[in-house]
Amino acid sequence: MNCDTARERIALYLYGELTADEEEALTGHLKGCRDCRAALEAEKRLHRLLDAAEAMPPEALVEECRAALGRAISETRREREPWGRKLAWLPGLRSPAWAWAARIAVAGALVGAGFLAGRWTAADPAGEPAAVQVRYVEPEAGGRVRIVLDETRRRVLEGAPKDPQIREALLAGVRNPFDPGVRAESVDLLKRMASAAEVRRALLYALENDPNDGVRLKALEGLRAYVSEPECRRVLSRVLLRDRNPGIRAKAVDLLAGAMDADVVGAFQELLRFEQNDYLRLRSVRALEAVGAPPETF
Amino acid sequence: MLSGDPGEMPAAVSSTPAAIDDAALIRAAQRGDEEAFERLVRAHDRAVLRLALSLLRSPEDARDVYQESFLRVYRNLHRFRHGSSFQTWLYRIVTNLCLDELRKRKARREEAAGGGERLEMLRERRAESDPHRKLLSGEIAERLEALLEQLSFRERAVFELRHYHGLRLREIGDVLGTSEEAAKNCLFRATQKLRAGLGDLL
Repeated sequence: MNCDTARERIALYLYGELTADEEEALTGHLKGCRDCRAALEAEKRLHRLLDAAEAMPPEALVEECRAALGRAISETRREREPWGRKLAWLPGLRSPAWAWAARIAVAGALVGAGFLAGRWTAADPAGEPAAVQVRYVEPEAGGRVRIVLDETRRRVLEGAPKDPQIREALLAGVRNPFDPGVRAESVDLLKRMASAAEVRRALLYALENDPNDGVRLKALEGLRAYVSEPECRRVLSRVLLRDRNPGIRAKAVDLLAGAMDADVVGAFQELLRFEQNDYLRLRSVRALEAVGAPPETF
Repeated sequence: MLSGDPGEMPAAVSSTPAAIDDAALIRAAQRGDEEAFERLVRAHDRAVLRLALSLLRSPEDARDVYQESFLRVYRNLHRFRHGSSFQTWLYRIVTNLCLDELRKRKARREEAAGGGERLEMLRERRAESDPHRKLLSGEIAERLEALLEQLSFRERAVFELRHYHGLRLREIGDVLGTSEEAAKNCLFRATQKLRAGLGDLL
């Protein structure tokens, strides 16, 4: 073996990527060649330098990614699974720690300090934690270790739905991403308090975003008296065009037919371009005729 | 067709303890055990994030690749063939997504740095927690970063996977959809460039 070949192989040699024959030839050459031995030493120094430069992603970024992934997976599951299978997410079954992180993140984003969404209510120092998640394990000097725990505690709230604390919990319950039962109960109780703007916003959110047909239907019922509000009409127009459930689309048509404005007319015309359901088509055409608008756009 | 198609299962078979743990977790996750899936993610996600950071030099993009990679794993785990290497499959998804991202960037004629947070600010050097490694000064680290940025995507991927992730060249060939020989050439070129760039320190 000449020195050029030996130099080429030194890099692969340190990675253990030479064949047995190649390795034998190289070590044979190294024994008799001081320059190539020096090159091998330099290559080892390069490896040490590269090892020293090894960087790991910061824990904060790892945790951020995990929480976001947990949320994305919950979303994927909601999109993919029929309603019945989501029962697996009812409480009592152990859920992954990141789902907790996601819950806490979602709840934290939605309600003020001290509150967690739906049944995962605020911390109670006296209670036993309902879920514990090890956040960090940090070895310390003297063989000790520092462990940071995220604990979620359960607390029972009782009172009338109008009590501010209960109402706040119900509003959080509407956005509970994991339990349609909690959302349905929350919406059902809140729809009687729809005179409050905050409650209407929650109902509009549920109507437009909830994956569960029953929850959306309840939210729509709660908004019945507020169709004169522009925001309510806007959401109903979107529901009209996007909701996958024809029953809910039909209710949206009925409500909007009594509150026609330019946007609603546009929504009905748009609906007629795609809608297959005869009842919905008929209702839309009649609603448009009633205000003298053409059934089609040109 | 989306790159990183999880349908193309790697042929490489690994029987390391980590791979055996993976197999048990994958089986459980395929049966719907969410906790097992989470453990599977946690076993690999730091490496995934590291790889994406190294290849993309942008924390924002690395975050996106992390999420999309594991979502693809989640959606396609039922198709995973036991006997193939989960790590190879996962890394194939990650490297393909990174390559897609770089192509998009090129199309947008963006700076590789992405204009976002500085990578160096976000990565924690192990040197800081290891006194033996404190010898590596910021200046050398910067030179090394600059050298790595000059490597081609494939050279950087091969170097990263071999040096920092410990994959064999044969597995790297599987990950990148190339031959072991091509991976070997990439590794050779990458180390040659690093050696030339850091020659005065060696």
